Amino acid sequence: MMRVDLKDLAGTDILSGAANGTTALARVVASLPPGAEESIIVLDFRHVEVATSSFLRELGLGLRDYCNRSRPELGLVVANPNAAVLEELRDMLTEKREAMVICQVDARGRLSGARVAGPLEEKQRFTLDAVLKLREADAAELFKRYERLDSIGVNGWNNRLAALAAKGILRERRSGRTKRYRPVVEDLQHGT
Amino acid sequence: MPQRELDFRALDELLQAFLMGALSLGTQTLYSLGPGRIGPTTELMLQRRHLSTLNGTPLASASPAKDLHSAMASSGTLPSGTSFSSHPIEFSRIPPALESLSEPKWIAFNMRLKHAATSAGFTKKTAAGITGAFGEMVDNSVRHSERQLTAIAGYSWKPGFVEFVVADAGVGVLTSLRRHPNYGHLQDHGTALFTALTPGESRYGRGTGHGTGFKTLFASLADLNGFLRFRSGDHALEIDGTNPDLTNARVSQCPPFYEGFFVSVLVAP
Repeated sequence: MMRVDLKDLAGTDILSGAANGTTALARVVASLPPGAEESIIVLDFRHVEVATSSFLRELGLGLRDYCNRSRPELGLVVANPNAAVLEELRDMLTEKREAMVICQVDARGRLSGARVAGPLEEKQRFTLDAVLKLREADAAELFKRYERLDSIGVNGWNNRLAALAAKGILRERRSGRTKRYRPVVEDLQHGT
Repeated sequence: MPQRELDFRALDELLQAFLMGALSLGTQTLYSLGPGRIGPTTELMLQRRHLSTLNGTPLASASPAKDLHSAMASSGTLPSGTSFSSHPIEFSRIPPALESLSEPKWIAFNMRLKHAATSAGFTKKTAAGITGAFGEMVDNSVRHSERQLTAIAGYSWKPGFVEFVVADAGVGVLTSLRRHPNYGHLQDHGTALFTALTPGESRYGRGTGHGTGFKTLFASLADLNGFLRFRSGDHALEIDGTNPDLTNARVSQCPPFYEGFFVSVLVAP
């Protein structure tokens, strides 16, 4: 786990403006250790009083997209947002029709209360619930399991799983010729 | 000679008199630049830069005009000092490069605004919200003005209120918005001002997830009393009262032409 204390990183407890979000993104990316070990980046907002939508957009979504593109072994969660930060984050995610995983992390680095923030479409919620029940799944498995409930084919399940992975909610791993998906953190809950 | 404190109403009357050519004949008032009202002072000073005749405006006290003039004349683009303790009034040029907004000296200026707000009597949470909103206004100016070297910011406080200004002599809101096809139909500065302050509207285009800065500003002022004035081109948009937001905005034509974008925010508990 790589924990990033955002107050330390930015030198202030007030994180505002897209420009500062972009600068924070560059600093986080520069601090990532090389290597392809699977891990998770925890953006820790402990001690942060304010983080505005534009800052969160540039840092949060920017870092998630960077990981998807260049460091797929890294997952990302937002930790310890206060009520004001959480409200801005939810507003931003709603505006962008995006979602992220939020949680608490204690001084020993233990994650708890992981849940999805931001809107998910009905089918994405259904897919996420299905993966959460199985802990890990692939498209063929979900197709067989829900064939009677959902007319979608294996490709459709693949698309849904890939969309959740692109949002950083699921992570994927190759198993032979198939991609298997599991939650980015254990004990992920669905609701916000 | 009678004295009058330079509030925005007095400023508009003064500028109106100037435009009608009545300034030298009819203006026998000595305008007092009362400490704590940096908004009208800043707007007047920025107009004076462009309207040379206004340089004869009788001004009773030099501060905060002196502080502002000094900041504008400064060759540096970062405020001096890294202390987090606020001054009663402070101005600084805004760093022209986006990455400079993370410089320790600029962060310290923001922290002094936060300290000013807590000194004025606001809670730590409210002070942080106001400072975050200030950061959004600054980011807008650097990002959109296209003349970053003209941008200036300031704050002042007294027990019971805090005020900040962010101003530039850039392209203005109408020109900026019209850079995007979504807003090619905009014709006047008043509509442009209202549009720019509406959540989700931005020169990057509607519904792109940009255009959240003013929403942040209004959210930071929830349950507070405020007076907000925005100027661009030949219009002003003003909002006052409790929970200031766009629902009680007044847009009016307000000559003379303001080159760029001006934001003044006064907040009281």
